[in-house]
Amino acid sequence: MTISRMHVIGVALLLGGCSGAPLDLSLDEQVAERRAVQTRSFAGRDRIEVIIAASGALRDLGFIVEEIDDELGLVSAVTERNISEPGNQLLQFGLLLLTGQLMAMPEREELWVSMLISESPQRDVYITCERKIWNDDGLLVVESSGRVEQAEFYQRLFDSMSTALFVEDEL
Amino acid sequence: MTMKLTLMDSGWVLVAVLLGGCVAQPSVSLEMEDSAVQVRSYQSRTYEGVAVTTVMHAVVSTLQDLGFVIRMGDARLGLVSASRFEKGRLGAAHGELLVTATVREISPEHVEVRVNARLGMQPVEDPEPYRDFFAAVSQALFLEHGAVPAKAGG
Repeated sequence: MTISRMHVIGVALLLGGCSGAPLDLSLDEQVAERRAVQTRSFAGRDRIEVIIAASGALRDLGFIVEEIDDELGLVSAVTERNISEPGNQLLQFGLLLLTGQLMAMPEREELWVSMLISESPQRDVYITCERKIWNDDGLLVVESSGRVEQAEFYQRLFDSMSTALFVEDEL
Repeated sequence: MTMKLTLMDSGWVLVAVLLGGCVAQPSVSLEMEDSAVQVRSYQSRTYEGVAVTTVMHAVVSTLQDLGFVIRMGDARLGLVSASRFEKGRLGAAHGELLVTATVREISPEHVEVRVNARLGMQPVEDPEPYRDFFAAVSQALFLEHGAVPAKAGG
């Protein structure tokens, strides 16, 4: 009996998977680039004012603020929304007819945001966000879940903060 | 309708009760193993000549650099909780990586940071991720405040 090279590689990969990938907590090369996108300075602003603007901006965008610590300069918030598209059921039905299998579609999204407001006079606001998506069968969509890196997302949050600060100034 | 138990039935009931008793009940274990002291030593670092709030800020920003979302932070208690979704690679299961960090002043000149990580149900006991984490915190302290880290362990 001969065992092909592909079989050996396949078994090695499976066994490798069983041991689990090593956990990595080292900084990667993109950290400075990411930090630049996810940070904006609100120089000259009072720290409490910025914290209030941050929580206001998050609420404007549909988040629920879960945690605020003014001494640390931390704001954490979460939001959940339905992301199922109106045509999904029709598409599911079409695919069911074609393939005989019911295909799961994205249904629910959860976003967690944390903002760190610096003590320094630059008043840097550093945001991180994580997203999780679940299909309509209740299963987590692993490949679409994880760190949010789209610059537009952070841009929108910062713009919303600027608006909140502007509104506060006008009051 | 009445039901009479025969001797045979009673025997089966007794066997069932006895076997039921054999089913292991999960016990609450709070025993500290010898290795816990060793684990604690690489989960801790002491920083010298830097304020506790500065270290706390460096810990939080480092967690953010590593892609964590800060779930809870209390400067007065020196406590931070954060999470990061870990995608399984090479067939490894995905899960939530949870980190708790405590930052406390142990003397007027020294601040101790202790970090615990758990991936899903499993505590992270490999020293390497902790070493990498503290290297990143030291870098943040050095770049932002010119502080020099002291030593591993409490």
